[in-house]
Amino acid sequence: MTLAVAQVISLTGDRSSALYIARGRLVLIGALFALAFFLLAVRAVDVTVMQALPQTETAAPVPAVQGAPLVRRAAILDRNGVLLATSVKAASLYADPTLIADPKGAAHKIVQIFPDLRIQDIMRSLTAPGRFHWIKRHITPAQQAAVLRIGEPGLAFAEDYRRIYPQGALAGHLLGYTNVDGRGLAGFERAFDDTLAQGQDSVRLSLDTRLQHALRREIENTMRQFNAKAGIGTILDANTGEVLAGVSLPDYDPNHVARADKDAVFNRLSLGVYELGSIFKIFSTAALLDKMSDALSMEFDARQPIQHGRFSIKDYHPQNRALSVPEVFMYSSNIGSALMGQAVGTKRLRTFYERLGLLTPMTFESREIARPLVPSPWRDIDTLTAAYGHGLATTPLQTAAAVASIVNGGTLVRPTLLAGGSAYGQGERIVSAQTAAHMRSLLRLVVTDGTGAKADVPGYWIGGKTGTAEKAQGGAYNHDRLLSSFIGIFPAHAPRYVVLIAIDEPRGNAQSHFYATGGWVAAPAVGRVVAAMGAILGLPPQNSDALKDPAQSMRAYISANAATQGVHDE
Amino acid sequence: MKIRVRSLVLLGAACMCGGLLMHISQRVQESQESLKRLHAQMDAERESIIMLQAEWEALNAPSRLEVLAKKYLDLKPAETRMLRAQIPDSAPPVEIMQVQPVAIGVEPKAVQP
Repeated sequence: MTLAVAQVISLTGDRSSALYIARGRLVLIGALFALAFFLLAVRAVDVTVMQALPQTETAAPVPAVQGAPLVRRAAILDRNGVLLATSVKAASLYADPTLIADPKGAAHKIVQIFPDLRIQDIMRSLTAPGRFHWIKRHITPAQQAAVLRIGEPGLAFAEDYRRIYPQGALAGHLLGYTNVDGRGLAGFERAFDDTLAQGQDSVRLSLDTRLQHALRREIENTMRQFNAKAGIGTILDANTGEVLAGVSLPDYDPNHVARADKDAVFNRLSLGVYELGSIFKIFSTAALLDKMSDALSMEFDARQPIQHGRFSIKDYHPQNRALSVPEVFMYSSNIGSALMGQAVGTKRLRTFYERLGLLTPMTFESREIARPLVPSPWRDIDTLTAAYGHGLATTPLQTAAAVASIVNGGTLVRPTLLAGGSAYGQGERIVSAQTAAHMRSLLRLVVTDGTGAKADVPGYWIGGKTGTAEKAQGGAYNHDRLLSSFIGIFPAHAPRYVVLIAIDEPRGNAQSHFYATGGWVAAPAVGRVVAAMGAILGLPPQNSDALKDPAQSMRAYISANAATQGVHDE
Repeated sequence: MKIRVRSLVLLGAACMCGGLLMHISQRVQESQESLKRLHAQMDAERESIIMLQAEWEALNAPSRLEVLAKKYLDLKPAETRMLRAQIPDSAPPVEIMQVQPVAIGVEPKAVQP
């Protein structure tokens, strides 16, 4: 337009030059504006057309719970990589009362979603002053969707991690549990709380879920069969001290600790102390064999009960003759063992127990560890009773580890819950290799000829020792309340596994001829566990042609007129 | 007023730069968006993997499998007498077939005799 006007009105001179400049400026300004509008148009196209990408519908991110740990707690695996504990993201429901429109209606709808909540409690949270009140921690996605459908703006979610235990009660006592904020309160979760809270990838334990299940199942069945109060058991690797399985029944599901009663939460395996009875004859016999090289041919007169002050030591199954050491062991003679303890000597026996770790709290990946009850002062009578496992109470786990320390060749192992354990043969030497070999043969003899016959599994050379202890009650021993146990080792010629089962207060039944002793209650259970282990671990049965049964070497010491039929009572 | 060629060229270059800048910023924004989406997706996938792992372990818990096996299968746990004492640790080696390695996405070449 400007150009057209300039052409129509033709001017000359200064004016024409001034108009020319003005026109040029107008053109320039016009061009700049045109450019600016062009840019705006382009930007408009950019914003409305080009950036209008198909937006995936995403809900507003759920904020994190205030003060919740920012890292995911490390998972816990068993030795084969089976998940024992893991943390998953979970939403928690809270209320902001200032935004609640209809507290009563909302409360009714919430109770329908969470039947375990009480309507009064919810009403209090929905009407209380303040802007933040928990209603329910860690809800499922389905519940979260149901709450969203209520459509109440005052109900909101915060997210944090929730600990879950896919195996349930299976290894509850050893794993422990955490509180709602993810801090370990018991078991491994507590002992390794700091490590787990740092959020490493995962921690691998020594446990084997399959063995754990087999052990737990057999203890449960035995408890039911004998109407028992409680059951304890463990499977150790005799060479490394790894705890392959550990059971304390009754137990609890760590997913729902609040529902468990106090008795079930008590870890009998490492926090309970028991007089385990004749199992201790393994230790006193080993002490004797280690002291005297000719001990196997020694004889002990078991005809008369031992009188010591107001104590008297009697045999359950009197043989009424002098017994050799293997006979004392296989018939589980208390008198013979007491005399053996005397032959070892008070100081030596006490030191021996101490070196086995039976007199001090064990080291283990748990905070629930009991201090053994040790006679103080240790008098000569305590040596006699400690030789057959009375007057001295230890935890079942440390006792099993002490047995492993003898049969594995004589080097100390400590129980551990971490995969790997200690290197074989690196521990302190407890007994000579010779003594260890004798002890393995003696333990095998108990199963082939003695009180542990019911533990035998053809094909696997199981060795072991029965224990039947009367429980102390009000300063006296109660004949009706027994702790019946059996500790098995296998294969007996080169033990790889130590299996302990102890049943608390079993009641004899018709099948067991109303016996409730270790040989009748715990020994068959250990046999069944070993048979299951064979199948689970694929252990080939022993080729009996290739090797000599370890019990053979002990038969020479058994008197010819000894009763060879099964001895099931002690 | 004389519009110099140089000014025109500069103006054109500035316009081009502006256009290019916008194009790049556009691309960056797009990429950032998709990166954010991918991260969110990855987080969600990771979370569901962990959840599924836990669920898988719970479904494979020995106690549950035992009940199911008893109910639906005619199988029993192996007994000691079913296991053989001597089984060689490994089977005799099978003759390994000659296979030409083929890179993924590459047409397999004819094998030269």
